[in-house]
Amino acid sequence: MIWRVVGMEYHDAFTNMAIDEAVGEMVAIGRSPPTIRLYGWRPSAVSIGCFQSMRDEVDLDYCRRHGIECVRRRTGAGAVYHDEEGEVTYSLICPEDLVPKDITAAYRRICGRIVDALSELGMEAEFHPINDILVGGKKISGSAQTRRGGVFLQHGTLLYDVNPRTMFSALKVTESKISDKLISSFEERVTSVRRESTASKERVQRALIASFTRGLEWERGSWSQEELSRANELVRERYSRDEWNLKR
Amino acid sequence: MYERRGELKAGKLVRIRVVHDGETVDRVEITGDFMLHPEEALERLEASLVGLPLEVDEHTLMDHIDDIVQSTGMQIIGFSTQQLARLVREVLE
Repeated sequence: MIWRVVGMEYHDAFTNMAIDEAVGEMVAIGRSPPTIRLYGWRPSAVSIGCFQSMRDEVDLDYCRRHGIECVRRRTGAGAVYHDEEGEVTYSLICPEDLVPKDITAAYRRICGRIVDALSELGMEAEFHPINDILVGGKKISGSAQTRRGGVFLQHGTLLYDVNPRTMFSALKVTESKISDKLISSFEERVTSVRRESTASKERVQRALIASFTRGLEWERGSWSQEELSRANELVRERYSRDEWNLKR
Repeated sequence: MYERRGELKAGKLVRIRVVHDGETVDRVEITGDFMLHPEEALERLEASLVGLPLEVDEHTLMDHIDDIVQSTGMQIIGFSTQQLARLVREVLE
């Protein structure tokens, strides 16, 4: 089985989520190969977990004023601020039987590849169940997964450079204002490649691809016309609509 | 109609909103950063709590939730059915 690797590429939030779903549908019917993609968010965006309340988690006025798009994922877990310059996002989409049945074991296997990539870049990283990766005890990556129609999807982010003030402005935090204390408490819990290493974003992308594809037969690829038109349909019908994004 | 809210921080954050008419549950919404497969099963779980009397006890709630979990093959990461039953009971107080 030959895996396809796509990216690094940039899309708006709705298209990013629609591509993941469209590719999943095509993998389910055997029209697309198992796929690994690297991508970014242009413009910057917030994605929330499929069970979260958009209004509880996101400052929608701030996001609207600053051109930050907000989208509901089809995977669980928490809200994420995706800075256009500050992260590398990945998705791994494949038939379910290629990954462990157990949820934590599947996280462990795929996050293990990210841990290896970070090690390759000189960072001592560790998988922190359920779905996080830490460097020096601080979170640097989070992931979420789902299984539908016999297809497994795991997507997640690797923080390259964090701007906590923008992040806290876009996401609702319990504190009434974004204080220095809040920022320093965040910096005690979260880190980024830029804080831990001198690796460029391109080098990070290369390390991720090398690690994800280790032991696999793979080739560089692009989206089929069928995938793109299904993704456009999903943008129109689901991901750009308030009925979906504000449903909780 | 009356609305009650509650939340618990188990492995993950779980928030619940219950709308009731003073006698029975009319609507339930469970939100949070937990993980649950299959995702659509959460709506079945929420719907299954509609119509329950406000005085329903924690054990009955837990049996009820466990039945839905089993019948849908639901896997939950981030809270237990016992924690959810307790939260619903607290919100209904």
